[in-house]
Amino acid sequence: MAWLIAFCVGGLVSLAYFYSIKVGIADLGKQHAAAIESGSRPRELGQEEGHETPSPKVDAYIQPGSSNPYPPQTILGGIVWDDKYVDVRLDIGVGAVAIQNLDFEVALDTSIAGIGQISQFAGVTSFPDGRQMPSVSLEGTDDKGKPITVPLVPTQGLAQIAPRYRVHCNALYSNTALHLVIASVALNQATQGRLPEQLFAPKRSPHLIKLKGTFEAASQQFPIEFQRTFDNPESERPTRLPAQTVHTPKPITHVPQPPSENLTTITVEARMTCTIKEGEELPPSTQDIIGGFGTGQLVGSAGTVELSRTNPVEFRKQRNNEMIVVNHFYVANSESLIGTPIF
Amino acid sequence: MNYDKVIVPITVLGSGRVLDQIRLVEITMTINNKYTWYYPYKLGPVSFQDGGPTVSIPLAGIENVLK
Repeated sequence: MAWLIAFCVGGLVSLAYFYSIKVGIADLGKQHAAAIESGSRPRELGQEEGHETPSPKVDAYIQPGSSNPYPPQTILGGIVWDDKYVDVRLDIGVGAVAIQNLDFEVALDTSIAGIGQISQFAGVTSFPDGRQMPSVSLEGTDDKGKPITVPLVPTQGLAQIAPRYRVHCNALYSNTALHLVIASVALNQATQGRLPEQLFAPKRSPHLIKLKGTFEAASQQFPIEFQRTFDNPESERPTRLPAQTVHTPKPITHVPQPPSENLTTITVEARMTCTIKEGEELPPSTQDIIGGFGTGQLVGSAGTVELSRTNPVEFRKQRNNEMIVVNHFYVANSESLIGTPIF
Repeated sequence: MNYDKVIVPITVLGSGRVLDQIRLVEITMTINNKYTWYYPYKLGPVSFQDGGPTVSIPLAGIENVLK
């Protein structure tokens, strides 16, 4: 009897042992299959510890002390600094993932006179939104009455004032930062379709900066967007980059369009500064011009729009034996161009 | 719509005899009284002749807002 009991107990123990071996092998099989599956599947951006998520951080601030004038002829990031400028800094820091073809538009609630780089990356370009500063031509006659055209090319370092600038950077390496300097300038607003007598307003800091564009990483394009309000423009810069700036690891599927705005006015002002011949009688400071005389044109594939003149023509004598002649033009409300969308 | 050039004749209304050499041409364009572009162009020695030159300005810098 004792042998029978020992045989049964031993059998049960053996069965339990074999069952545990079977369950263990099954678990090992499941784990191995899971490991194979995860190893053969391509890793997605941001899937592992966040190291592969392209996450450029954007920061902007008013350079402390820039409310005071910089020394004359200071050149900052290639910009010949003017007393009217306020120094706005824009930093774009890159994490562990390098990025390429960073391309964005930047705007302030003031105007931008220039953007320069104060870091050392090659392949960084900035220009007024659209294209490079236009090359103007001056058409007239020479001293023998023959037609002549003088091409005017942009002067390096001179202000190129525009509401928005575009910046392109070919590549930013991992764990680096692009440092840009923005020359902010305040302009007096046009009123009733006429530019102000003084284009430049008293120096003031901007209160808002907006940035919007794209960059590439791992052969995919990503959006980059940033906005900051300078609550206290004269305050010191923040000690670290804000966390909420940019972190959107989803590739772009479409680019949203800004809301439309209709065209209400176009004004053009041409100022010509000339030296004055000695002994000649100077003209009065203003002279009216007969309506319809010497109108300008806006031309293109869409047709021709007349630019009417606004009286008077101004003659501003300068202290250095120079005179500025100012001509004003505008597009009349009767032109079909007025009222069409501009954005 | 598409416009690619602005042509503005600068007139001095018979005061050309006073002016000797053109030193600087500044073009300012404003849309909707709030979007302003300002471009200054310095010139070499260019004599002023007759009634005044005509300035031809490509709209490359602002074409986006005129489409």
